[in-house]
Amino acid sequence: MMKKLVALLITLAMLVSVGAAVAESGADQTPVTISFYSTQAGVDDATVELLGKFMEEYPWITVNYYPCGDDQLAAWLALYSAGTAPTVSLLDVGQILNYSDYMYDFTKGDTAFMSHILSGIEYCQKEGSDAVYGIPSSYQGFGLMYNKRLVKEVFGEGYDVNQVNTVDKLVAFFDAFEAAGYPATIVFSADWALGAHYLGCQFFSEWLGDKEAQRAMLRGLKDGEVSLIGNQHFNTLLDVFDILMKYNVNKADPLADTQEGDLEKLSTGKAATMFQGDWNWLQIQTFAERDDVATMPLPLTNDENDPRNNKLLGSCPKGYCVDTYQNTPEQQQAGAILAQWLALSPAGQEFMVKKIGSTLPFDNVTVVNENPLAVSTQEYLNAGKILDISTYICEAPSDFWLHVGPFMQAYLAGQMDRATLAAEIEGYFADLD
Amino acid sequence: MISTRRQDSWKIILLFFVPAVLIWITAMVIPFFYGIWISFTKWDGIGSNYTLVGLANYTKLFTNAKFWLSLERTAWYTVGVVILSNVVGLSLGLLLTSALKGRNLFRTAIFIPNVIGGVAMGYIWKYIFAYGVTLVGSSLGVQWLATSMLSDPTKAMIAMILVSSWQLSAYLMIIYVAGFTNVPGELVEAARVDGAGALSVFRNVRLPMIRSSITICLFLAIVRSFMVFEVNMSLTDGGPYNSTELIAFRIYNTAFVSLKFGNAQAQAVVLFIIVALISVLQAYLTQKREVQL
Repeated sequence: MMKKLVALLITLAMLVSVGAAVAESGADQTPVTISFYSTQAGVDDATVELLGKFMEEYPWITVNYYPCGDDQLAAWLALYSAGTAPTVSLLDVGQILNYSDYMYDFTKGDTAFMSHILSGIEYCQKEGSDAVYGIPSSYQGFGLMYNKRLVKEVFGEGYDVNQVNTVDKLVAFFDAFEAAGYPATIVFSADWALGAHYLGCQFFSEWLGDKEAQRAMLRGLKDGEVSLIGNQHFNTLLDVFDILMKYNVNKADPLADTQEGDLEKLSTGKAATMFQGDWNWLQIQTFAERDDVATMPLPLTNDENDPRNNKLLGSCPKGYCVDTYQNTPEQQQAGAILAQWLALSPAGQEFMVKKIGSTLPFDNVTVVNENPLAVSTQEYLNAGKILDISTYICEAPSDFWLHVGPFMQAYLAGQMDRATLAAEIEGYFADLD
Repeated sequence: MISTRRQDSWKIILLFFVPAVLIWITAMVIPFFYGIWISFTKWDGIGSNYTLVGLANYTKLFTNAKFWLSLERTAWYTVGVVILSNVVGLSLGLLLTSALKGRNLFRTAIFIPNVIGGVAMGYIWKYIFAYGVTLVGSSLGVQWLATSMLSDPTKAMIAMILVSSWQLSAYLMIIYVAGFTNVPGELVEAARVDGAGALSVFRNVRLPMIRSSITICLFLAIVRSFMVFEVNMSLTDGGPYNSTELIAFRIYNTAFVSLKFGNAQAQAVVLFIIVALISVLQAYLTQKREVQL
């Protein structure tokens, strides 16, 4: 009898406490409907499932999901034209900054969450302002991806690729692959890969110096005061590009490659290395047969003590932002909660790591990443061996790659010499409004 | 009685005519004039801050060599597609209205490319040109096929013309089939009785009788070619080194990559005027030669 009474009392106490908790959580929370637009394609079902978890945790917030199509920015702008601007959007940080006039400033709310962000806040800020217009969703590393099986086969077990920290050692590294019968590298010829990643990211990175040096270079190019052909850093980049071209597996027809074909060559051992970034894992993991891959720095000088020869390029590619133009203050507050939850909650982080394979720049990550390229980025990030490219991402013109990429393609195909390439790039900047 | 009939006819007009006109005005007329308005402004694509810049977007175009180069490329592409798609479409139409066994099956099979979306088709052909054609070329020792057509500016343009014509000719074939089917059999028979051979019947009887089909097909081919976007984006992406960036793709890039909406809209207005002038001229010239029974 006593046991039954105790059980009854415990049950009653639990019901009362649950009721109180629900009442507490919902009491001062007016139901609000918001929307989420994601430029992360191919994971719509998983995103809907993720938003379902958010709505379970925040029952007064209803989230409608807008998936992106092929035209990510065009579709996003169409939502604004229709008067249905998404409350929260996952966008390229460059676009967040382009449209910062319409974005919520996260420094105006509770900023405690920012202490968990290791890197990337600076990508969501404009020059000369403290406002933060986005929360970084992930971090990505660029470098020389390599096939681990081939490295082991050619150089033996336990070989440390970080030894390759000068241009001369890079050439020897490539020669060893060629001598073993393996093409040494792949130059992926897409305009965005050559214009944005090889040239843009590296040219306006810490390779050039601090942020002020990078900004001075951008200003100098816009004002027509910089001669690229006389610029040491520009020539260094192209000297190394010449080496990559010499060992390129596609050199007989350098513009005929496809991204899928190149990644298939790398991951199946038909070529040893390829300059690109860790997001390529999404494609590589779809191949039925593949070797393990990782990323190493691409050395640009012959000074092995130059710390830059031992670092990966790193950036925050996308971020969560909240619209203030067509969403009410209540929706903006709910949107800010969703944006923080997507970035920092265990469910949001599991989604980014397991479904997208991203590196996360947060201090509370517990999910194990199965993307070996992202693991490389994480290791370099943890060791502080990342060259920051935020000046390129945040301050270079949005169409830099669109115009400069084709010039780089012409250079790759031997249709343009270095002096003409430099003059064309200077011409592009001169034509800017 | 008369009043009731009038009321009925007004109801029919309201029921069928007004919704269609409203949709047309909303989807076509308003965006058209809105687009013209944007071409005189500097605009970011979102807000209501339109900075009036007068004719600045147009004057920039007229001094922009890359814009004219893109238009010139589009013109050459249009010439290639209009000729090739119409020759192939007309030939197929003629073949598939003759006493050919299994012609309905052939009509369906040939029409299938037109059902595939432009983007999907472009990607499929990209792989065919990159891997399939080069494999055939290297296997047979044909050097000019051993390298990808998409990595050479001239061959990439030819590849785009081939792929677009391959798709468009299937659509045009249907119009030509309808045209040839409507040619009175007694006319053909009479010509044959008079001793006309197959070529003569085609040139002097069938061809004049399908001039209205030719007018429609030329018009469709011209407009579609000038406005081509999906194949350009997915097959060549404007490459190699921007040598195949046609005007619609350029407009898209100006708007959604360079974020210059006013400038992009000015290009679109110029393109509209050019296409409208060519289409009206073409329709006028071909309609004059149409035969009425």
